[in-house]
Amino acid sequence: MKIALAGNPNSGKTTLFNELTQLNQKIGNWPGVTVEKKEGKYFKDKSIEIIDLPGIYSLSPISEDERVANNFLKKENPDVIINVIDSTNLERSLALTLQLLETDISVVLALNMEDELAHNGLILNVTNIEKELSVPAVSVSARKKLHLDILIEKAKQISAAKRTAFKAGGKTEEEKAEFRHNYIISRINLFRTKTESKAQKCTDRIDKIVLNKWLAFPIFALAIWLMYFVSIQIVGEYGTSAMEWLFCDVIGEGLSVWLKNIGAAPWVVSLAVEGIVEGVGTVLSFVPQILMLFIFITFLEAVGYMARVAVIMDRLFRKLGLSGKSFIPMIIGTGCTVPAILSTKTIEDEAERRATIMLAPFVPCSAKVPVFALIAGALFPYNSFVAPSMYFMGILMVIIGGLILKTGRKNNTNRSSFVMELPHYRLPKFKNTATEVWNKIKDFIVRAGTVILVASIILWFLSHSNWAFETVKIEDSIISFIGAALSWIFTPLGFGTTAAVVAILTGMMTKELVITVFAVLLVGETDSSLNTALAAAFTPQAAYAFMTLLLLSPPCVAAMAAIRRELGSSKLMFAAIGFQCAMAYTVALIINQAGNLWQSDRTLCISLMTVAAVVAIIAISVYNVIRRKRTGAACGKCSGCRGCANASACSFKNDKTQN
Amino acid sequence: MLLPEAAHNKELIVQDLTCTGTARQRLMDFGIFKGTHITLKGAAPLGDPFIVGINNSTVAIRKEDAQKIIVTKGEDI
Repeated sequence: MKIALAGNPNSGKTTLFNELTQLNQKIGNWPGVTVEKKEGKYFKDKSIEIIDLPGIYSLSPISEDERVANNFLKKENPDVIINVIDSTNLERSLALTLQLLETDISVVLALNMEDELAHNGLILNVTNIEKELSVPAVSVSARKKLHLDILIEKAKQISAAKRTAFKAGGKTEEEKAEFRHNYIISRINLFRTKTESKAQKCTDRIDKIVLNKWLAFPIFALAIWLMYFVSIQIVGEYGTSAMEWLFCDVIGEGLSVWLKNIGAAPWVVSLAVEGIVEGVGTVLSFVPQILMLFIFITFLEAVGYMARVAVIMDRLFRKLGLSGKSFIPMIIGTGCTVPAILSTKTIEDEAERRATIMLAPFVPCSAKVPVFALIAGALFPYNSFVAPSMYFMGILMVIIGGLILKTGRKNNTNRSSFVMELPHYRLPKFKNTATEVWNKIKDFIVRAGTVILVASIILWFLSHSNWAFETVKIEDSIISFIGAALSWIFTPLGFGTTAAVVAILTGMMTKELVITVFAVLLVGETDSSLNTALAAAFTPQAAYAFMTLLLLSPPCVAAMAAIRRELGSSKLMFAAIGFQCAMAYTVALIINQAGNLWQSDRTLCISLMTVAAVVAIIAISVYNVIRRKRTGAACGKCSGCRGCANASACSFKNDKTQN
Repeated sequence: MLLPEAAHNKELIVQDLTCTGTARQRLMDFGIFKGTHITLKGAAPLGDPFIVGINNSTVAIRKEDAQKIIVTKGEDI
């Protein structure tokens, strides 16, 4: 038996799915967390298959994720639809219910969020809902696991019984939508009694601060800075040094003594200690920081802040040819770029979605963060802004990249609409947050035990062997040969060393490998600590350029695959990767060269930078003037002819945007 | 009047939606029809989008879409 979970976005479908299947799919408090269908089995009866679908408002899909849900309902014929309803917003939710009742699939209502009704000043009358809509309904709370068994029982019964149909009056889709809306509204007082909503009041109060004209951006910047500061500076300092001590001094030393005692060959000791323990251990030593970072991200996702960020950024991002919704991937991306790229499915406009996919990898993911922490710790130990500055640098590059992509677009008009729900703020449940964080950190640890372990062994081998497979010093090894052959590419950026070159190349696979490369190549030979070795290998400007290069280059193979899948073609994927690499190289080059110049000749550097800034400002203003003329944006009284009441009297009548 | 011109935090009644296509569909998805009671709660920091209260929920609507919602004053709450 197949049961599909369908309902409005953010109504708790995935929470219900997780409870019914005992799986741990990602949940969060913003519309659009689930963008793909998820399958599982009811944990009490494995013959019942449960399918979680992305949220929909109606059966006329607009965005990609809605299409997924709609296609499933229309083509895969589930036996029953459990229509998950946000009980605190029946007016909207039940319109979809009526539409579902028009299909020939049996429907059961799960009136979710029972636990929040009182806080919203609502009392439901389930009997009336069942009677008026002639559909079985159960008041449940997925979060508190209330009445879930009854829900499944009703679903089983209805699949056997005859289903009830509904028919909306009217001919066009719109007339039907209006009919359904009126049908619900005329009965709404039978369904629920309403008093003052404390939840809404509380949310309004928080929104007054979070969306305040002057406070919104500082609060956002503070949240991001705090996230990095606590993770990297505070937790990083103690956690990482403790883990380093554990891996290098305790395990590494112990293993080396033990191996020598049992009479292992010197190369075995070297491989085990300098290769595997160093390579994998150094990556694992960043687990405390990553853990903290994940706790922050999960909290932001669960509390309801994501939708607010989209609203705050919408105006700015539209100017870049993106949407406010493009910012959600840029926060999810601080965890991992792969789900960030998937989450672009909620962006309705295809051009905006593509641009977002190309730009989202600029936001540093949790695999890039340890690299920044490592380098910032080695070269800028007293500066707590270097690591967070990478996030803001990423956003800056999203802005610049957005402008570049927009110029290349043939049709500059912005056709998408932006109507987004701002969910009520909600304190995350500890268990959910813990599961979520554990799922994310598990991936990190698994990668360390698999990809990074194998890569460590290969790196050790390549750095201890020449082409004839003889044991040699690192200077004569295969890796030095590769490094030397490619160093000319990176010398202008300030880091033509073997370790840096190899780090960048292997980093294309996954970014934690950069740490592994440094740990194996730099520490192995010199016997000094990784920090000292790094400080000796880079000048500060080269280090910052190196960090920027890593920041802007694609995070890993999995992210590239996600880009390929979401863009729909290999050609577009290579275009995206080429674009990212070009941005990365250019910005790193500018940083290193400007830094060098600053050191050798400050006045020349300042004057050159001033000239560059003036040229940039003039270029932007000229461009804007030309663009305004062309598109008729801002004819004086409005922000653009589209949506302008004076459009008919506007002097830019032939404006394309009016269509 | 157009929604962006309305007073904040007062009850408004939607008289007409002049937008078309997906924008119109989205507004209807959110339950904004002729006769729906809404409140204008304010705007995002850069003046766009607008924050609109409808029933027990809050939605953000871009200026260009909000300008296509024609409202009249309702009874004060």
